Amino acid sequence: MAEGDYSNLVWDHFDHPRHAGALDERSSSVGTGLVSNPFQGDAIKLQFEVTAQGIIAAARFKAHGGVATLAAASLVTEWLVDKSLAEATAIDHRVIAAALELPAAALPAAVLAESALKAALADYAARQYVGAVREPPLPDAAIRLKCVTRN
Amino acid sequence: MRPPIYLDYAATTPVDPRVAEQMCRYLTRDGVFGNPSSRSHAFGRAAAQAVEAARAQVAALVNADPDEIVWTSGATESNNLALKGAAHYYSKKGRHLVTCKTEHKAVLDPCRQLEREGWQVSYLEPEPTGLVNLDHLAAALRPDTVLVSIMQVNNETGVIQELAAIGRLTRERGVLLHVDAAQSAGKVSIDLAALPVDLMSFSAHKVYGPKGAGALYVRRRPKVRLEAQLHGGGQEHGLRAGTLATHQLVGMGAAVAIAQAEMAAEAARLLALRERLWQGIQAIEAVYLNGDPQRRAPGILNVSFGGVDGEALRAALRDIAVSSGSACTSAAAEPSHVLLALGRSKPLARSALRFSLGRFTTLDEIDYTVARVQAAVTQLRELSPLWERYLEGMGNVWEQ
Repeated sequence: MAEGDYSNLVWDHFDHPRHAGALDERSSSVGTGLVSNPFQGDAIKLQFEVTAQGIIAAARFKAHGGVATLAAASLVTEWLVDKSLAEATAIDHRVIAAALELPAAALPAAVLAESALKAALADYAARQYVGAVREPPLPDAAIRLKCVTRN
Repeated sequence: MRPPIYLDYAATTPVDPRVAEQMCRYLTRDGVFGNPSSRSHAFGRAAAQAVEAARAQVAALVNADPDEIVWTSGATESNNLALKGAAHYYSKKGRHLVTCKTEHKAVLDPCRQLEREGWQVSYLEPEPTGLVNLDHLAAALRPDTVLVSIMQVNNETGVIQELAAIGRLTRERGVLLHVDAAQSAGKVSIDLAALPVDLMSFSAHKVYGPKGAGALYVRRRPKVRLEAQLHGGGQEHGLRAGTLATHQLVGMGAAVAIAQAEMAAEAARLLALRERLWQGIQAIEAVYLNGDPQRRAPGILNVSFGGVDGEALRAALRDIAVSSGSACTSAAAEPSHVLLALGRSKPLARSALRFSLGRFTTLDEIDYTVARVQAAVTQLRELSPLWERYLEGMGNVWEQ
């Protein structure tokens, strides 16, 4: 895809990623999702940390992929901060794609970002029952679209 | 912010001002605007004289006879005329062609068309270096093989094929050899009096001439025959009809004359700049040089970056004009067919950058490019969960 295919917001996130980095995966207050798209080799790791009041205090991402993938992951982390878990659950690929004005060919990037968020939410929910002890996510090399929760 | 840097000279080159100045004299009323085919008056004869002088310049570049040069609109047309023209003319001898998987689409697509018309084509697998394996070539030749088409310099990797050895094989078997020299003419020396090559395609815009001009060398001794692909006024000995574009051909002639005069010095200068670029990029972890490290044209460097997405890398470097493959295919999301044929994995083929240097490339531009590439690769890897895994010793996914 060429430069003109992306909106200014996409380029802004690509050039100035928000919240790049990582949180402590072992913490019971952190949800981690690592998903990948086997067709393009894209991967997003998305994390958030939840306060005792159930509000997302911090969000981080790492992403491997094209311009849209990096922008979508960055945008979601920006949205997550100060949101409740219920509000976070409402974020899906449609709102991500609409906000970034993604061209149709770049829609998989929005889907991948949503998948990463859903995986992180599921991971966080699971840990509330099982407690703090868990292994780090197993980043499957074969890059399957999968939720890394507790395996 | 500094203006963008052009490192895509293998895609096209700007017209040299010395060439543009010549071309302008063959367009307007006060210039030589006549039809070169109008031999009955002075306007036409002056244009014909200019066209023939340009033809002699192209012939001199490759040590051929001017009668062996046929004007075309560019290397794509030259390749079409060579492949389809020879295949059709010699169809009674046989209907089999041999080429290589790393050829330009302007050779592969005419081959596909001939396949649709009933010809058979063998596509050779290159060595991981990009070189054609001569044993494989010999084994692919059949009694009904009419023509072998192998490019001299690959447009993506810059790898230089061993034309003399390939030509000896085809000559022994009585098979024609066509060479796409779009990337090599004017950059590496070519002596068609010595090389056993029968047909050779040239392009003007790769050597600081205008787009829309090219030529096909058609050997006279032993004579190579072709079936015309364009029919009309019988220009170019009936091989390629159409009014000759005097200004374009004058431009091509002037461009190749300059290239020939400056070739040795320019090749040495480009080689030094390319080495400096490679030294800077080589300092980055997990980079892969594509193509044979020795047998390469001086201006081209093709490198893959492990753990980095190609689109993101090109976007991060969008103030530097580089290419992912050939310009003709970069619109497609598919990884380069050339790098896949060399055995590169899809992630590495996707992450490849082709830097092509040229006449106006400066040392300062190379140093700036090295710094920008180092920074962009570092930034993208810091963002990448795959690179994180690699650093944790969990292996890499890009070589698979």
